[in-house]
Order: sequence, then structure tokens, then C-alpha cells
Amino acid sequence: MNLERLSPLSGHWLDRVLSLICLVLAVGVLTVADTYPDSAAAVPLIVGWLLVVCAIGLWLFPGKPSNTQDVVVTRLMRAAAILVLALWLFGAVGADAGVWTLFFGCAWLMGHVPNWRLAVVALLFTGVLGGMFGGLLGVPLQGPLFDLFLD
Amino acid sequence: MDYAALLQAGLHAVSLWPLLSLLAGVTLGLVVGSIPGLNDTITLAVLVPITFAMPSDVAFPLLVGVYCAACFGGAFPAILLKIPGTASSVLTALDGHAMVRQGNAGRALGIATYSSTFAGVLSALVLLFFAPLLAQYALKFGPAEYFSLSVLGLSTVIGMGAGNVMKSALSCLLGLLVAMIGMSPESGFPRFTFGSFWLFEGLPLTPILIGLFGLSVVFEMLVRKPDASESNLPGRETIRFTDMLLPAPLVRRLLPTWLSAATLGNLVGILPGAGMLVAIYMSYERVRRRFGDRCGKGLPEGIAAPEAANNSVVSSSMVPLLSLGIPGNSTSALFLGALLIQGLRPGPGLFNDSPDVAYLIVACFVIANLMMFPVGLLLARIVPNLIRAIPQPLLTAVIAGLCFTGAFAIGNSVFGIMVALAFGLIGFGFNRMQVPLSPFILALVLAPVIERAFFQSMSLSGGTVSYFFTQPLSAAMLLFTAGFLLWPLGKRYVLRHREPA
Repeated sequence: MNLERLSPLSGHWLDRVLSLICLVLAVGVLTVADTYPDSAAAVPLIVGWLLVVCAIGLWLFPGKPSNTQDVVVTRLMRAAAILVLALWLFGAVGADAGVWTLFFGCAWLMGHVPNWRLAVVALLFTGVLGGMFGGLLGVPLQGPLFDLFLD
Repeated sequence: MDYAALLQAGLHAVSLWPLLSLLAGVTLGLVVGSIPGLNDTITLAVLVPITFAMPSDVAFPLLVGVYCAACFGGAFPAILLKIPGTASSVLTALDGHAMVRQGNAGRALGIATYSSTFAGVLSALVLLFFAPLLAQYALKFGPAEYFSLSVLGLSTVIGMGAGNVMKSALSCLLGLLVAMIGMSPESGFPRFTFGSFWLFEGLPLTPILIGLFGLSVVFEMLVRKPDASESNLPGRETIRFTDMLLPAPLVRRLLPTWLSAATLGNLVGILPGAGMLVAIYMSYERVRRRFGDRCGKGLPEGIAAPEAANNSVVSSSMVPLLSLGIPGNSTSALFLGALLIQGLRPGPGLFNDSPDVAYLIVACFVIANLMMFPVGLLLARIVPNLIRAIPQPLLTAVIAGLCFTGAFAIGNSVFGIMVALAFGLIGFGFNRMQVPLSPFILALVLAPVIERAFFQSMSLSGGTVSYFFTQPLSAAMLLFTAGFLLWPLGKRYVLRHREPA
């Protein structure tokens, strides 16, 4: 169970990782902004240099230990997978498929038993959302189910 | 002030649909605020995309109601469970829960309700008088004043932040960087677009807000198992309605605390970026200094001070947004998003160009705060059962669904969801690493103002930076900026020298 947790990276170490990420980002910003004309480059260059200062400052003076003890990596991965799958379904199949998957997946990950009742509740929620956006707000959502019933 | 427009807006606010919308907002805000883990920002993040197709006289009352009441709603779980529903109720939990343990749950909830209503109405009146006045004055502002004011806002949020200054500064710089994606406001040259058509217009604000405040909370809920603290809730029968009505001597006793906390809250709220927590801690510290060890053991003033302070920040934080176009905190940044998608331009011109909407918003703040009193007293008895009844898995799923669909509906494209998802992860990471979100949001919103004002000032002055210091108001604001940035160093020095004594 301990292997699943992010505790080895908690505290100052995580701040130092953040500081390194910012340093790399700052170098990227300075490199890219250097190719811009003066008027467009001025502010990004200032921000880039300030990022360097801040990254060094954070490395030298990291904050209190970050609270990552209760983050379970497998749950994080599953959550990311469900959200990315829902995003893909939104674009590839339709908003109805995306919303249904998202609702079912989130409820399941939060501890709801993945049974037919949850599937029906997810379907009802999808219908309500489709009706609310399409009917009340005038922003019709696309999808095989919505096209069938809400047109 | 345009009294005719104010009267017209006030009368319109009490007509059927705006009033119903306001009532729905206040009720929703109280319920959402009382659910641990949810707050005003996540609710507004979810609601803003829904309101963009609504008429403005329905959309804004709803948003105002949620904003006013969610902050107060956070006091319910703070008092009953010792779990602050919102960050603004952290200190309310100390004395509030101590009173519950002494069998005075009703009295504790009553003090929170009276304090929130009193301070809320007072700060709504501050908004009513100061926003149009400041807007009138701000019409005389030149680019130098706008530049200095925006920089002052950023320095306040960095210097007055509760955590690590470096992290606040980093958050601010990252916000500036994200705001620079897209066409340069000065030359129209595309920056950090990497040839992508989607990035030419810059990243859309609303999906960013949905991600940072909505999806980040969904991530937070999904990655850890929910706790079972609800089982410790006191039953409905232990909270008697009559207990919640405060006797006159107690009201007289709490009045000075309400006044001092509300004054502090209003001062902090008007200052862009200063944040609610500063006001709450300052007002609680005053009570702690006055009552010493009695604090934290069920002292009525220990509930009255933080509740009055946090509710007075709510309305007053709208003063810089409505009068100057500069959001005072993250939640008013969401309001900025709502104003923009309704086709309005917040700033000094708002009260002249759209007085109907501007005064309607102001009037709604006054009415919403008055409405909080009866609705709060009624809901206080229902809330414990409500928290028990709402299934956490379905609640998370509903929030996720609304966030995704809202982000999609804004531009009718999957790009909105991609942006929201990316910023949801960033927001989750920020929360976990204790990097504050407010500097990021404020920088994101203020970056175009700062850049445009900087180049306009340069062009007016012939490229002389000293121009910012030759304008008296701009120079004063830059002086305050330096003060706020040096404040953390000064504070550390004072604390170090005070310790040996």
C-alpha cells in the first residue's frame, strides 16, 4: 500500500521538483521569446527572468511539506483515464456518450456499485443535461442519443 | 451616483424572475457552502457557462445569491462537524464546535447567521456607495494609473498571501505566462502559439476557471477515499429554532465585534488581491487579544468575528471589479468571466454604459444579504440531514458532468474541455503543493491590462519609465506595491526580533 502513495516525494522535495520545472519553463520562455520582435518580446522576457529568480528562490527556500499523504496513485491514474476517455468520446462519438461515461466512471471511482441502477441514473443525468443545454439554454449538444430524442 | 437608475434596478431586482433567481442562488449557495469540499468558486465555475444563455436579469441574481450565501453556508459544517465547508470558515469551527459540544448548537448557528447578515448587508451598502463613486473617479485614470493599480493588485496577492511568498510569486508569474499565449495586444504578433490555430486567440478564460476551480475539486475527490465524518452530525432535534434567535443583550454585546470585523473585512475586500483569509485572521486575532484563553472554548465573539469578516469581504471585493474592472479575488474573477460572456465590459464605463445591469448587481447584493437571514435560519435545521442525504459519488459525478459540458458549451468545441482538463490537473497540483490559485487567476486577468497600459504609457511619455513616478497617484500606488512586496521580509524581521523577548 505504501508503494501506492506519493509520500517519498512529499515535503520539500516536491517544491524542488516544482522549482526545476519552472526553471526549465523559464529557459524555454526566454529562448522562444528571444525570436520575437521587441514589442512582443519585452514582457515575456521580463516574466522569463523573474521565473528564473523565483525558481532559484523556491529551491533555496522551499515551503512547508506538501500534503500528498492521502493521494493514491492508482486512483489518480484511474481518474485521469476516465476523464481522458470521456474527452475522447465527447469528440469522437458525441456529448451524450462522453457525459454518460464520465458520470458512470466518476460515481464508480467514488465507491458506487457499478450496477444497472447507476447506468440508468447516468442515462437520466445525460438526458437532463442535454435537455437543459439544448432546450433551456439554446446550446444543442451533439450525439447519437441527443439527435434521436432531443431534435 | 445615478439615483434614478439605482431605484429602477432596485425595483427590477424585486420583480418575480430576478427575485426567484436570487432566492434560488441564496438557497443553492447555502447548501453548496455547507457541503464540505464544495464552495462558492466551484459553484460559480459550474454556473457561469450555464448562465451565458440566460437573460442578464436572471443570470446575475443567481450568481450573486450563490456568492453571498456560499461563504455563510461554510459555517454550518464548520460549527456542526468542525469541518469548514469553505476556507473562510476555518476559524468559525474553533468556537462554533466548542459551543456544539456544550449543547448550544442552535445558539452557535444563530450567531453565525446574525453576524453574516449584519456584515453582509453593511458591505453591500459599501459596494452600493463606493463602486459608482470610484467608477466616476476612475474615468479620470490614465494608462499609468491603470498599470500601477494592476501591479498593486498583484503585489497585494503575493505579499499578503498566507503561505510561501515564492510560491505566490511563482503562481502569479505562471498566470502572466498563460495570459501571454495568443496575439500580443501591442503588435498583434502571435506568442507561444507554436503554429496552432486554437492558440491564436489565446486560451479561453471560462474553461480555465472551470478547470482550476471545478475539475481540480473533482480530481481531489476522486484520488482519495471519502471520510465518514458525517456520522458525527448532531440530529435535527438538538438544534431548536428558538435557540437561533439571539436575545437583545447578546446582540448588544456582539455589535462592537461585528462592526470592527466588518470594517476590517470591507477594507481588505476593496483592496484587490488581499484575500478573505487576511480579514478573518486579523479580526479573530483582535478577539483573541481581547479575550485571551477564553477563545476557542465556545466564545460567541469567536464565531461573530470571522463570520462578520468573511461576509463583509464578499460584497466589497466586487468594488474593484465593478468600478475598475480589476477582480478583487478568485471568485470575483469568475464574475468577470460572467460579465464578459454576457457581452459587458467591467470597468469605469460599466455604470455609464450599462447602468441597468451594474445597479442590478449592486441591488442584488443588498437583497441577497437580507435574504440570507430567513433562509439561513430555516436551512440551519435541515442542513445536517441534507449533508447525510447527499450521496458523495453521485455529487462528484454531477459536478464532473457539469464542468465538462460547460467547458464544451462555451465554444461548442472539445478544445474547451481540453483546456479545462489541463487546468484541472494544474489546479489539483497547485492545491496539493500549497501553491495559491488567487495570484494565478489575478495575473491571468490583469496581464492584458498591464501590458496595454505599459505600452500606452511608454508611448505617451516617449519611452521614459520615470513617467510612472511623475504621476502622483501612480507613484503612490507603486510605493504601496513596494511596501506589499517587502512586507513578508519585514514581518519575518519583526517576528525574529520579538521571539527572544
